[in-house]
Amino acid sequence: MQEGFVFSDTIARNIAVGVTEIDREKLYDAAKVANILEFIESLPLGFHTKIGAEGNGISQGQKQRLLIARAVYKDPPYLFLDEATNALDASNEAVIVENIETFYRTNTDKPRTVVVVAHRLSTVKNADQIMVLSKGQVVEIGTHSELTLQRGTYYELVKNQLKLGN
Amino acid sequence: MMYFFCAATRSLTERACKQSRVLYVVLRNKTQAFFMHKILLQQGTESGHYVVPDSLAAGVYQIIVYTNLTRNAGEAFMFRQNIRIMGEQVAESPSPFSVLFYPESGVLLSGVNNRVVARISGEMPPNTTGRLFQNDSLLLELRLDTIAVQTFFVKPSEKSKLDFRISDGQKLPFPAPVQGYTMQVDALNDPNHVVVRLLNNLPQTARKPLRLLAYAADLAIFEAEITPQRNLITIRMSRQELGVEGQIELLLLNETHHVLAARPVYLPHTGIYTSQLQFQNDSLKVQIVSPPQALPFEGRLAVCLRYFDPPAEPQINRYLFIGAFIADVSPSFDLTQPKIIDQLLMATPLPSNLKKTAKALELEAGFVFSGRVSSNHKPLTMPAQLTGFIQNDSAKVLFSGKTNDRGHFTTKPMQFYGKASLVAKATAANNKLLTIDFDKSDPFLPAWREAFVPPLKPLLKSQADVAAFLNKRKSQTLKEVVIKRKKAAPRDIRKPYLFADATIKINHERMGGQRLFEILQGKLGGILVDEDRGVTNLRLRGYMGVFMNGTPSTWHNERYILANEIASIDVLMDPALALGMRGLSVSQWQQAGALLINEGKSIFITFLSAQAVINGQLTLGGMLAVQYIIGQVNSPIEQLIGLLQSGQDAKISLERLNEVYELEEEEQPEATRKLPSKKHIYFKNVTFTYRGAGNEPIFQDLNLFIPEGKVTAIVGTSGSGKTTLLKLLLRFYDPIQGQIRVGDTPLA
Repeated sequence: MQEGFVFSDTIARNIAVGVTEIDREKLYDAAKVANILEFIESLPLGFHTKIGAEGNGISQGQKQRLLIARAVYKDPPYLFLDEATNALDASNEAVIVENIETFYRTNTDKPRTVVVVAHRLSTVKNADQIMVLSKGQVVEIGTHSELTLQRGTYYELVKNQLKLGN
Repeated sequence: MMYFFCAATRSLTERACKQSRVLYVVLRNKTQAFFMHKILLQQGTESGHYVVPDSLAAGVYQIIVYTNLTRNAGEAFMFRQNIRIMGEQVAESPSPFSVLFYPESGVLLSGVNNRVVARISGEMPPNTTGRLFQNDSLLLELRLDTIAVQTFFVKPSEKSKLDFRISDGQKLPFPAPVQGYTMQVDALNDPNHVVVRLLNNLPQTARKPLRLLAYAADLAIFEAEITPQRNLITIRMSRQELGVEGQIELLLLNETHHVLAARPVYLPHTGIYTSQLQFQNDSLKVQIVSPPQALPFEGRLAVCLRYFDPPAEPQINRYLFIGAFIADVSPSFDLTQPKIIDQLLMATPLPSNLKKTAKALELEAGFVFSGRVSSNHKPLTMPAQLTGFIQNDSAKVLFSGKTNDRGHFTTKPMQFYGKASLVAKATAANNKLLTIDFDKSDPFLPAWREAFVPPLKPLLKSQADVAAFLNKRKSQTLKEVVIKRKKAAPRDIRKPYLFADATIKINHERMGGQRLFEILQGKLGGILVDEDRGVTNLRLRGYMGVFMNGTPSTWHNERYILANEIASIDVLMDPALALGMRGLSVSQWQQAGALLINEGKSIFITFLSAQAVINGQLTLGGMLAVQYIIGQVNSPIEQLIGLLQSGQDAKISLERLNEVYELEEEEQPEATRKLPSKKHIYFKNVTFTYRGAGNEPIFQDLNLFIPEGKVTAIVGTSGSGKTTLLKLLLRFYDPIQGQIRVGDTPLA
């Protein structure tokens, strides 16, 4: 989701929502994948830092990373990401995309179905299947390389985003 | 075969009478009548033929033709022609006299009271009686040797057989009851109106449009189109509009101009004549003393004898009807053979003492006796059987019936003239001695005024109008007045609207065709009714919505919906009003009350202590101390009151909160299931639109496949539906059409 709900509780509890006992190892892994561990550890209280109501006191980007960590901690069979990184800077995003990428693909005994909705096309470059929606219809389906070769809607989107001039 | 040609002439001038009239043709021999036909004379003439039935035995017969008026005036006014039917046997009648029955409409109707006139003619042996039986129970006994005309009421049931037996063993044919109309006219009761009552025993579907015509001389002076909606309808013709005196004729026609009933009516001259009555042996001498000059017309005069009872209440003139006759007019005349004229028989202007008007409408103008049966001056505990009769010197009408549990009874209507005596006997199951007390009040007369009055049409003025009227086609002249009901909408059996402040269940048995606004008006407070140029506007004050059958309604547009199309109406109060108004009004009242008490108390204490100071009973310091201390007590009390107020507010809020909790769960708990083994996601023909009018569909027949264990990216321009797709996957919304499947399991 582009927006999620941040409870006024500790960071640990905000990542491991709804569990009685927090798995510390998983918590660290999740924070690492979401590229927020550095930030958390810089805080005096670390994971026990309380966040104000609805995420007061942390930035939008930190909030988004927190929510990604939450999703990763949950280790779900389905993962739907709707513009999950739209508030992040490019370098941060690159790290997260890479981390999530590995998170997607590890754990092969428990296959994970992922749906990513994104504007920023760099985040979807490595997807197994890219669907291009236009006016409620799927107009193109394929991998990044296939679609760029087609020079269709996807190509236009990529071109417009990169503004490479050709 | 019998051919006929009838032409009406005036008896005084011998000139042709072009009035439409009804003639009755009767074939009879000395003892009985064989058939009766009605002929409508159009423009005074009519021709046709009758087939004489083969069953008619050979012998001497007589054809008589009469109108309604002449039949009562005597045979001298009838057309008579003897005919002989040739045959092998000539059966001579053993009885030297005959009784003819004239039901008012020509036929007897079952289920309603028929007024029947019996005419007895011929030489009658002394002590001859005739008895009318209905299914072997005696209804009526007539002495046939004293009087020529007798009127009585018969209410035959549909299946019962009526027969009339004469004491010498003869049976006289009595017309079998049929279905149809009968007309009764009351021309004397109401000084301003002629009241016509139409009775029928037809089912609702068989009632067809009728036309009522009144003729005076050769002109139609009144016309009304009627579609009877019930068994009895009453038409009141304004006498002023009729504008005539003397004889008029009323015709009841069906849609094909056939005469259903006809009545001559005598509209009395409005002048007042004072007469002196003198009894000389058996004859009555009537001397008209005022005005002293001759009567304004010559010919025949209807005389109605009434006894004037000085009114107890100034509005009601009470007359007791004694008798009526027609006589040739001269300044003075003797009366030895009274003849009864039809319409005067209706004149029994006696005050009503019957409370239940609905019952009164069923009854005929006749005497109804009521009273009470008691046992040893104690009321009865169970119904008693009551039998009895009323008799005068010529007729005896029997009655029987049951009292109610308390012993009260009312007899059927009976019509009598002159002196009559009433004999009744009551029996109870336990053979106890019972006494009967008749009510002291006057015999009863039905209250006509509650009856339904159809609108009257303007009068036809000239003969050309009459002809044009008669020639008009049926479809043009006869309007179907029956209200066509809309087909009832299918009933919605949904629950009442959840937040309804009031739910009105429509009782269809009681309010079949009642209009919606009448129901709303009756059941809901806060409705304003504006009459604006004939349009009734209704408003609900403080109500947010009206839900009919569970769906919202702009109900005031639907005020013409009949109630039988609605199962329930839910009325929703404006929530702000409901919460705010209630809370506000409660706190307002409480604050006002508290303030009043508080300030009142302060003033009272100040007054009291100040008085004490003035009187020297208290020092000024003491007074200040008292006021200060009491002021200190104030705030805890106010806090207590505030607590109560908060409690009440909380209670109101809790009520509203509870309404949310009472809502049904959107997601059923059992809907959470285990994931299937195959976890790919499949959109099949998914169509989705956000709720609300005019929204374009986001997806139209969308098909897509999200493979298991793979990363699927969805890209697209803004507003292409990416987020909506995820929302559908998360089941924030359900697709309007189509299916989302996880593995083989549908998501919904």
